[in-house]
Amino acid sequence: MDTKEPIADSGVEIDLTRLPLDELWSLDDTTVMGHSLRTAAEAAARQPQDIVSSFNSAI
Amino acid sequence: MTDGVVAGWRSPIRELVVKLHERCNLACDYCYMYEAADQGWRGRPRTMAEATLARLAWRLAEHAGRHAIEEVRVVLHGGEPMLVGLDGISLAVNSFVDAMPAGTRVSFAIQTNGLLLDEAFLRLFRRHGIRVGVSIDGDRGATDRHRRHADGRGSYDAVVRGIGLLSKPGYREIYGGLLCTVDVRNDPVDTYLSLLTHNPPVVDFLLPHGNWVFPPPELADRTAGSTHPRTPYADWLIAIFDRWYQAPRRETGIRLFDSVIALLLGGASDTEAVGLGIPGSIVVETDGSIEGNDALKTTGPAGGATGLTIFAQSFDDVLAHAPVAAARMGFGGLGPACQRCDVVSVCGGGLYAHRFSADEGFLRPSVYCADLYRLVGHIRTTIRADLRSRLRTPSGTAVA
Repeated sequence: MDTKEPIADSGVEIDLTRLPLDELWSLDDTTVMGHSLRTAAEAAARQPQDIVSSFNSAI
Repeated sequence: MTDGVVAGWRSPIRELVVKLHERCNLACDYCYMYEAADQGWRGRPRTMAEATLARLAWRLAEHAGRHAIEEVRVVLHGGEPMLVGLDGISLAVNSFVDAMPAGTRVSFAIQTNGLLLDEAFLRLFRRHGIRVGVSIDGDRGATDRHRRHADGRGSYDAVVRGIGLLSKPGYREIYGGLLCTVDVRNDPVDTYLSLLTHNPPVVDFLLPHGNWVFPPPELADRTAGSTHPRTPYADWLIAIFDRWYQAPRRETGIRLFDSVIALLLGGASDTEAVGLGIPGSIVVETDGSIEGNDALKTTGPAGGATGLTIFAQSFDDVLAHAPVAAARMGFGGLGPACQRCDVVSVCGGGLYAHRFSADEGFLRPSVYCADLYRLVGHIRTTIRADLRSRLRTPSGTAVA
């Protein structure tokens, strides 16, 4: 399992604190993934450095 | 990362599991309390005496004050904690509330088999904000397979009646969730759908406790390594994950899956079962003896014992006790195979007690390693594919 593969095809690193939430998923996205992304983004807003570095290494 | 995590063993205790009653009104055949190697319950008082409770509350307050902890959580546990009755519950709650120093809140939860749940108990729980978790393993067949009375009668009807009360609108706020112990002989999706009929806010799927000395069901042939031709627990959980994840709307939370996703997205786990977080809880038995984690009772006689007691040691003493500290070292407490593994930041080596072996202690990977590896890989692949499709703005440009 390759944990280093960039998530976006462009190879850019993802900064959860800069995700344009309204463009990525609508507020009425009640799926598990929608919920998970909102939870992660909210956590990133609270602890941006920890979350972002961990996000990029895990995904 | 490693240094910071290793230092975590000094982090204070934020959750106390209190054994209010040492006996149970069920005789579940898989119970780690009564059926595992550690038979310490036989020598302890049936209930926690008032003086012991007072001392315990004082100990927790001492710890909270020393570390300026804003919130501590007390889990009323057993055996079956509701056997202490309404007055016993009230006494416990008031003991902790009255003892806490200014600046420390105490929140409460209770883990019950649900048989004694009635309006009187629920009103009491609501008054004190006690969140209620109920154990049930799925439908009637799944639940009564293990969760039976001493005379062999099943418990399904009684627990469903209790959950029915708990899920009424007036008590929804204290409905903590359902706890289901996995038995791979039950159909996974049927089990999930059955649990869903009770409208739980959260479902916890627990892997049956076991280790390399006392293997869990179906894993007697398990050998070390992150791959294995048979991964029955991963197969079972993945069937539920796919059903849960692909639903058009989020039907409930599943703590294990939510935690794995959160870890993959860079967040924290909400369960000791996965992740590298430092466990913040300890167990205190009815006689005031202190144990590190209930699951350690499955590792051998006196497997859960620390030799420490609330009458002689502070909780800071407990943190410095080597076997307790060893379980709170995160990445640094893992063996070399786990430290080299590519999913260690997500599975975290699995539950500490599941790593136990006679020759390596807790330095082996979990006895569930191959199952966890497959499960994490499946969730990661699913999340990655889904995330890719979402990491595009409507104009098609990649998000930076």
